[in-house]
Amino acid sequence: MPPPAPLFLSLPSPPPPLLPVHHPKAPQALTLNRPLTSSRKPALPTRPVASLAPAVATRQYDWTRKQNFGLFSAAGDKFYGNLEAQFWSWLDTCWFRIRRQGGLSRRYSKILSYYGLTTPPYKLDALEPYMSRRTVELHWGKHHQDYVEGLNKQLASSPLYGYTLEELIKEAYNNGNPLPEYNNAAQVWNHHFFWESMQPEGGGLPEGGVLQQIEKDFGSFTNFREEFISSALQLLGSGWVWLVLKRNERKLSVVHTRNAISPLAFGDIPIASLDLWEHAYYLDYKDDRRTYITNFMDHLISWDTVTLRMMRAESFVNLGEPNIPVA
Amino acid sequence: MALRTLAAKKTLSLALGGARPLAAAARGVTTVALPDLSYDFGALEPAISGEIMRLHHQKHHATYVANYNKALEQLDAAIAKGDASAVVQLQGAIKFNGGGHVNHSIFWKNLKPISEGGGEPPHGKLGWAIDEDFGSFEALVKKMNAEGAALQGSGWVWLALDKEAKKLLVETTANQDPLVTEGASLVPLLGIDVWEHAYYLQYKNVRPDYLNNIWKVMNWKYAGEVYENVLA
Repeated sequence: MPPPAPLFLSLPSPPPPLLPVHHPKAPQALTLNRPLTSSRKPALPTRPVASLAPAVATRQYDWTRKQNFGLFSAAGDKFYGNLEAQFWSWLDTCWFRIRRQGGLSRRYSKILSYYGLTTPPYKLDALEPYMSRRTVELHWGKHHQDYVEGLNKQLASSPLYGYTLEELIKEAYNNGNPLPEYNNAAQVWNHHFFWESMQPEGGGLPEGGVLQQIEKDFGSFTNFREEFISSALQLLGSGWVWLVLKRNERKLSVVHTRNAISPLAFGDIPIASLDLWEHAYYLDYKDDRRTYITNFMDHLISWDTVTLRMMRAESFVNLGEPNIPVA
Repeated sequence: MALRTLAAKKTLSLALGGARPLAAAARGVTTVALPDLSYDFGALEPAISGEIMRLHHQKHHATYVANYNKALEQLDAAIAKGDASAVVQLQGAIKFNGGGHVNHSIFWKNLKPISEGGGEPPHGKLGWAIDEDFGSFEALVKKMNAEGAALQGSGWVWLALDKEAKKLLVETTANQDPLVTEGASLVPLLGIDVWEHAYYLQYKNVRPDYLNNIWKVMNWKYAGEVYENVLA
């Protein structure tokens, strides 16, 4: 009566070898369908050449060295053949299978998330009554969230990997011929920028350096405000209106852009933005765009954030001669 | 209730479009007027809410009409003066507002209440042409829904007839560009407004739901008539 067969003999057979079996360089794979019997000796396989071996093949059981660690008793040899040999071959195929599927970790994660959804720096109802909680809830929770998830899904099968969000936008903009990832990436950034451009009890006048710069570049704050409002009203369709620091001209300016485009595409530094897509104001203001824009200007825009952004932008753009005190 | 809305519609359109031509016609500019709907604002429920229809017609379309008339007058003045740069500068406003008026006028005719036959699939020549060019009616609906949902920003999705090639096509245009900007031989049979103002109050951000439901009030009879008139 033969000793009980080891468990691994009943496991499914390994996948077929990647080289066709009749190929002269193909290693003689030991299949478990036909365990070795002592009457038939296997032909010794040639050592596989590294360059021809499939990329995922690892350590093959070396028949020529006939390694035997004495894992199995010799009692079963008569009936099952060289169990040790078969065990190591089977173990090799396990590695083979794991490597072929791309490792164990990828097996359990379907999507690799690259970018996350940032939270507005205030509660959802903090901008009432100028932007209702319902609007912020939908705008951030649905629209912004959908852009993030859409971007991650696109990136799962895209060569654009390992960029920061700003780099990704520049890369995907492709100098005016945007790739499919551009819209999602740009909108993720734009909305993050927009939430931070607002604050509860915002609006009013900026202070200090920012006010000086605005007065220098627009004439007066009132001029700037009028220009911002009129630029926003001149935008036809969906888009954004920006207070931007132009790198080449070294001055603040108001621009409007369509759909998802931002001044990053032109190499300028955005300082504040207003979302003029209809989803940003339709629930609160219906078709009254002008009131939405004036409310933003008077009650929502965060001059503190603008000041911080200007401070950072000054390290990239020389806005004028520094005031070096003479001793 | 219906009488009141009808009366309100008529007086508004009279105020906007009716009084204007008398003054402007003296200068030789033919202005446009806000067309009336052939159904109540609330007649397209539950596919499109009455609030959306009222705002869409009375506010958005009316604004396009008013701005288009204004732009036409300015254009007329600029042409008379020979101011070429002003003429060119006005083209943006004319394309946007004029396109908005043209597109929405088609849109109102494309919709019909369910009780009056809205949503009935096309029969006759248009039905056969759809089967020929798209495979089936469902395939056409699926294609238009997919293109409408994928459209970035604001725009329109059209079932267009290429009258030279005698083929049906699905096209999209951005913002308020009329269909002719995609091809001079294209005739619009059906247009779906996928600007957010057309569905946001009811469907919020779920544009695919709006696109699925609007087929229930689609006026295929009008599309069939246009198709047969053009190809006659």
